[in-house]
Amino acid sequence: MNIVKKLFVQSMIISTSILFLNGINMVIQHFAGNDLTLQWFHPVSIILTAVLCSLPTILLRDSDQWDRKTFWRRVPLHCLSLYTVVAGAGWLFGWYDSVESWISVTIIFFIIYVFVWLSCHWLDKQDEKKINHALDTIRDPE
Amino acid sequence: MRVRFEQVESKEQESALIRATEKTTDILNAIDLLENGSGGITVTKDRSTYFCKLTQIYYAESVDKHTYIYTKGNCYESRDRLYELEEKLGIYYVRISKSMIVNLRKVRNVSAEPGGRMVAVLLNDERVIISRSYVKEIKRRLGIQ
Repeated sequence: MNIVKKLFVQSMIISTSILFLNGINMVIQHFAGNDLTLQWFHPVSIILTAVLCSLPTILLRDSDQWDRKTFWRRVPLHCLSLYTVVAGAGWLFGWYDSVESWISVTIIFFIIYVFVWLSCHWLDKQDEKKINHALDTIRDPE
Repeated sequence: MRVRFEQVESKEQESALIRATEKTTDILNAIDLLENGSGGITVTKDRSTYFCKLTQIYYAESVDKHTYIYTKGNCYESRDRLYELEEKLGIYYVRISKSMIVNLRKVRNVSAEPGGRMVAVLLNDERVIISRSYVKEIKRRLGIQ
């Protein structure tokens, strides 16, 4: 996929996800008796953050052709750049109302980041099993 | 399965229709045999021309606009470009990267690596890299949903 198209699709996915999660949170908070309101710059800041979050993807270009060494060098770099965007946008747009909320966002960020990579690897392992099973039935004798 | 043979008058009229509930390995093998026969391709090595049986091919690789065919212990050159070979070879010869086609019958196993790529170990212990974008096609060729 063309890199510009990839970045655009990612921006859309990230902004939609943030708006969706925010929406769910606002509904829950409403029924819990705490009405939350969005400020005028919140929707724009979400879209801007999504665009910025998609940029570190450039670091993962051709990731399926990397050897292990390159993988373990690039992924932490990607993780840190993504975190810089999230933390920076949060600070710039005043998303954190206390140090505790910044710490909790930081912890959640790293948990989600590791979870996404592990999930992808787990799915790849499932493919590996299926392919190996199918190869067993067609393999030429050694 | 009932098999019916019907004689036709010309090569152009030849066709085969397989009616089955699902595409099993046996059916895929039959399709492979009917489409490609047990034929081969013409290859060269040290200015000599050889006939290489399809069943001997482990993988084909394109390097600097040259196409090389690898068998268990030999390497030959082919006049065909990789995309032409892709059409000539059977369903088990599948593209695994921009510059390589592998014979799935010669793959001992595959293992997924972090990042989405896979490493295939061939029957001659060579290791080749499968790019993530080609895994879907490999699954399709193997009849995996």
